[in-house]
Amino acid sequence: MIFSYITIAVRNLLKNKLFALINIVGLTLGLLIFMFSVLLTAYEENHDHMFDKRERIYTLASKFAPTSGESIGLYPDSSTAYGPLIRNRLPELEAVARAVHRIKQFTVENENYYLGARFVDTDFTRIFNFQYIHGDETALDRPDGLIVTRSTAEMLFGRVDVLGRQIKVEQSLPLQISAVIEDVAADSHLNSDLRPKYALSLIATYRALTQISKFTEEGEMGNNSAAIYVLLPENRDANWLQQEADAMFDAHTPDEAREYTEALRVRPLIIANTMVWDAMGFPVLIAAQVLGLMVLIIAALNYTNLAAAQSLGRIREVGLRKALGASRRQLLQQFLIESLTIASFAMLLALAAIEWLVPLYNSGMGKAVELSYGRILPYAIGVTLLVGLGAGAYPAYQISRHHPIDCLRGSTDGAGGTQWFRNVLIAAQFSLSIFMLAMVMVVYFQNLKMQDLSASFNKNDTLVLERLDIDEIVSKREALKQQLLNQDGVAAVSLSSAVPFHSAGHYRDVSKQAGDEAGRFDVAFVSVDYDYLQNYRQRLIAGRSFEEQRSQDIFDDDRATVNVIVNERLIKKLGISSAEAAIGVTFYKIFDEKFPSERQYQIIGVVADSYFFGVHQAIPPTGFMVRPQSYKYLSVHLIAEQRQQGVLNTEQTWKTLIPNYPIQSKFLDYYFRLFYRIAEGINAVITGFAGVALMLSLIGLFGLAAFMARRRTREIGIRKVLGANLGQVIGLLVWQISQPVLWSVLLAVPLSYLAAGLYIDFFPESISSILPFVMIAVGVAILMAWSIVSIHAWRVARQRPVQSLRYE
Amino acid sequence: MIKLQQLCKSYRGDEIETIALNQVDLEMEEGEFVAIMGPSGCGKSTLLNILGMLDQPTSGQYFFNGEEISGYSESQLGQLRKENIGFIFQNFNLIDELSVRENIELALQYHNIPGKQRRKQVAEVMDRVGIAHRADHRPGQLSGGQQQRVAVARAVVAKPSLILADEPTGNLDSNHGQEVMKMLQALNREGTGIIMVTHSSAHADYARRCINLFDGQILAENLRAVS
Repeated sequence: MIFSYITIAVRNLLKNKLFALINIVGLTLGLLIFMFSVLLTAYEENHDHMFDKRERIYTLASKFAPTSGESIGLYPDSSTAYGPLIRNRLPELEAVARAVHRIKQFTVENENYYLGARFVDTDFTRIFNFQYIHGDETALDRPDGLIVTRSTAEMLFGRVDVLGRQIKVEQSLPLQISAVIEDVAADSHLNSDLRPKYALSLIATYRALTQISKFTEEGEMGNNSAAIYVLLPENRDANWLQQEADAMFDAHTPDEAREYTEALRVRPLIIANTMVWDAMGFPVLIAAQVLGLMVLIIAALNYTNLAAAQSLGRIREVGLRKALGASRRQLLQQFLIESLTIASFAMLLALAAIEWLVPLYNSGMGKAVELSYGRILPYAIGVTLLVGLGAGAYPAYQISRHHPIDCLRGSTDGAGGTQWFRNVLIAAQFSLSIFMLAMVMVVYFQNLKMQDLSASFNKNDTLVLERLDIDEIVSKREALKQQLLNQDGVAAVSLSSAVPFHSAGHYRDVSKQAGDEAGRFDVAFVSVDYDYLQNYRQRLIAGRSFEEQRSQDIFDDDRATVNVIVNERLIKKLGISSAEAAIGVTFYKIFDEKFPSERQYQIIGVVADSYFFGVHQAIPPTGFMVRPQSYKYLSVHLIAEQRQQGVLNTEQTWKTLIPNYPIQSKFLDYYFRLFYRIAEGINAVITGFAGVALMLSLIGLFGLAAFMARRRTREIGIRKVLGANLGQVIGLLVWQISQPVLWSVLLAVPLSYLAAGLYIDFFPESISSILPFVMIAVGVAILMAWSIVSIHAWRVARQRPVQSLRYE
Repeated sequence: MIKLQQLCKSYRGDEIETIALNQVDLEMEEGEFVAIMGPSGCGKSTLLNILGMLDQPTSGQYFFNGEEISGYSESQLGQLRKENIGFIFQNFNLIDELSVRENIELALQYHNIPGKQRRKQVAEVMDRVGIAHRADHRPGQLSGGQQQRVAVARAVVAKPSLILADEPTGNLDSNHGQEVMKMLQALNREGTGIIMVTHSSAHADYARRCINLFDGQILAENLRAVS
């Protein structure tokens, strides 16, 4: 019996090829998108499965305080001081290890490389069981030990048997390779960071880090750069660790540190990876899942709708089956099996498409998503059953409930109810499509806005040289600057402690009155040279620039007063009404070691606000001062027409002057992209989802229009006999199908408005109004619906009336 | 009013060509009542559809009011049809979703007649065919005779000069059939031309001329004494 039902299902598909194509393509797309989003989310949420003890490994993350000025809430790293503190407090922990990631210069046989290394406590190798090719987990017990991954060894030496080989860090500290490990898979949090050079390549000891930098073994409270890993004993759980971490935090964290970090969060290792997403403050993974689900719902609604419409065309078949003795149950069965057959077929196609999509995604995104059928099959079967039965239920119910004689007459009494139901389904589909379309536009234009905000900086013609704070380079930096100025293609050069979009600035507490702790606020200070503000085209709106001949303009630790140029935010914060009025005003630093109450900043100039620290966070009150000790970057402003020449000359000049350190340079645009590409990624994903959703809705609408036109063929014939012209017949059909599309606006508009509002709230400066975009989405959806229905109506309306009349 | 010359209509199937009308010549004056008779499949309905401009001939000429229209476009034919011809079908061809009043009004809607005028004309014609008391009913709620009265009302409401009726009594019992024929006769007496396809020679007797078709050709044509 079941076999015969399946045969009938297949024959019906072949009979109505257009409907079959629409049904199957639609359902396949919906299933594909949904299954793929499930796969991706599962992948992101199930990292680090290669480590045996992963169920017992936890990380200590920082929860930023509202006063921290950070745009994100949770941060994967925490203070380097908490590692030793928690280890001493809880001896029963099996292992505790800090890991600090730093990009350092490594010298192998006179070749220099900039590589990202993790500097870790010795327990690190007891927590993570790497696959050792040479050496073992005791590799880091010696302070100069170094673990390299297979690919790093091959890159540096061309082979993997490199045990005992020496590598020098920062030109000074020799380390010895004490182990070689297999590369860790891409789906480990050690490799999934979005930032470049964060993939696991080298592991050195924390002790080594203390020898080449200001880090100390016991850690510094204000240094939030350590990933802290804890291996719990079998008999303890995360709640216990959280309580202990809270107690430790309370006991050891000084007040000023609490203004930055207000608590520690214990997180299981397996979700350590999703922190990247969480940290963005936008629920990316949830959004992906919800969008995937929406697309599936649209596809299922589509299918239900078409199937319901189509089943009415089979009413005579049902009448005949009833007359021959089929029970209602048997008919229900028949239609449900047909629907399941189609759903299964679509699922097979979707799985085939996923097989093709996964490697594409992996190579494009640097991921290692694995299509494991063990994990995906229960989902696939469940979703097929749900969609097949769910979407098939209503049409089956509708078609099987009529009396046999009505069926045989082809009477469609009760079709009114079906019509209503179909309209609701179309309205639901279109609501979701309009919603997604509106979101695409909002995200896109918000991105454009961010581009605009960043446009005050010449991103493409500014080359930033890094590592200007290394001792050997410090002594040559003035010479470098002077020589670069003489090069073709170079317009200007300036030194600074920070460059736009990249560094956070040094935050200091200040107040209007000396020692007024209650009225204090944070100011981001940036150290610049005399030409910096001019070179970066920061508009001076009052006062003057820094001048080399005025000795007070340069920071002097022994002098209480520091001359500063500030932005508009800062003078607003000080309660000063105009930029002019701010000139000469002083404000005070809180907590200064040398001048506890008298260290003061005198405003000599005011610049217009700009998104110096990136467009993803609010512009902070900012102060610029001339403080050469803090310079880390050299910005080379190139002449646009001679950009290539300028870059070559810069590299050549560096090489001659500083042969021991390879140049580290990036265009300013690179730093901007680091953040911006996340927003771009979100846009690409939503655009993809929305495109599929709208396409599904439109092919559904096309199918439905085809069906409705077919059902009204006789009516069209009658109307034409009575004198209706082409336009009038098209208008009739278009109006009929427009109604549910218009209803959908009622739901889509408030929904999009709310969701888009949530999204743009994430940005400090957002597009001024969402409503136009929502209305454009509505317009686009309605226009597309009209055109697709009109095309079909036109085809039908062109027929000779006698053909239409003869139809039934 | 109507003149057919050497009119042919054939249908091409997968393998064979079926000739529905073969070299038909026919003339009809304004205000005439013509009946077309013949066995099933002889081409009666095809002839009527071509006369009504619902279908086009394969070859031959069709003069309507002196104009040769066989080369007319669909929209030109639609215009001509709308202004001159009313239709009555065997299966009534009423729209199920519309009420009696709306079905009749439909014929006027495409004539750009103002709403008030339309409603007046519809009310008059409903009175005339005796269906006014059912004005707000749907076709499904009426008997066959009542439905055909609605169809007649719809055919005449726009005051066409010619009515084409395709077996108008075919789905009706004899009483109702008689009723419809009386209505057609009355219309004809007021000057409306009628061409009617029928199987019933009794109903054909209402016409002044009767044409017999066989295998797509006119076999005989005779004038009758109108009862």
